[in-house]
Amino acid sequence: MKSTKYTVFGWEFNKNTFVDGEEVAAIFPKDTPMDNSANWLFWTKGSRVAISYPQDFNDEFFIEQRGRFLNKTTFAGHTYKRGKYVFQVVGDTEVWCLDCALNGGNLPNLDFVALDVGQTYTTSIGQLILVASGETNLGSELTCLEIVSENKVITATTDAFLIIFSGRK
Amino acid sequence: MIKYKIIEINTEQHSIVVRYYTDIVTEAMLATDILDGVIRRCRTDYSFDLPVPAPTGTALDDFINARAPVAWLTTQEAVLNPDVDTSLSAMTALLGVETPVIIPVATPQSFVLNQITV
Repeated sequence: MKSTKYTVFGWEFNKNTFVDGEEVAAIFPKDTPMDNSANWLFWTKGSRVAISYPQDFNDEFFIEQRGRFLNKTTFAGHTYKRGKYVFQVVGDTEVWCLDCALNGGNLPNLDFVALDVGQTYTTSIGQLILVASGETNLGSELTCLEIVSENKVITATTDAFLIIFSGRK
Repeated sequence: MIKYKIIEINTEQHSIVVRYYTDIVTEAMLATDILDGVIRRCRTDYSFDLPVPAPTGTALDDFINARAPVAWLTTQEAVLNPDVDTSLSAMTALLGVETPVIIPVATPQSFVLNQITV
């Protein structure tokens, strides 16, 4: 894993990249509902498959996690049982992590929009948007946008992933 | 509050031995060698080689303060405080579990992303 730290609208945000086949271990010391997750994890590229997990774990939903997703919404209602998990990354994979501890225990609300090439997203005044991956008509990867005009349209010129912040730090 | 006292001066080595303790983690609790009721050694007795010329006054105070085992003594105070959870109960499930070490990758400095207004 390669981790790069960015300051985005004042928040400390890590972009973690993994190569195809890389294994990542995670230990949950107790049953952990994802709704209560303290951190925001945006899977902007790639996916992972659980190749080792606790014996009594049977939530197929977690076993194979593919595509562009956000842990808090995609895994809502699902719980990691206590124990150790090993995941194998499928394809070159990129995960943006907003870590609660790194931000003094205080995090904004976040949402995401995944655009396929050619798709558009109409913004609202006041939105703070990070182009986390891909290219758009308003900027490419690592561009921060503050929307001050009405009905500004973002058009994806490649597959793109936008992260929308409720506020700055 | 962490305190210190110089308990030995070794001129032949140009060094001193300093004892650190607190009002809660006392010298008696830290003692490892007691003779006839006199504490001869504590876990927090540290020997320091001094530079030449040896620091004095505030400089000596700074020298000793900078070497205090602050984190360790703070932890020991927490262990003695019934209002602080130091039970390590979250570790119970991991006791004896063999786990491969994933070498952490050092996180570089934070890159501040520029912002554009549209």
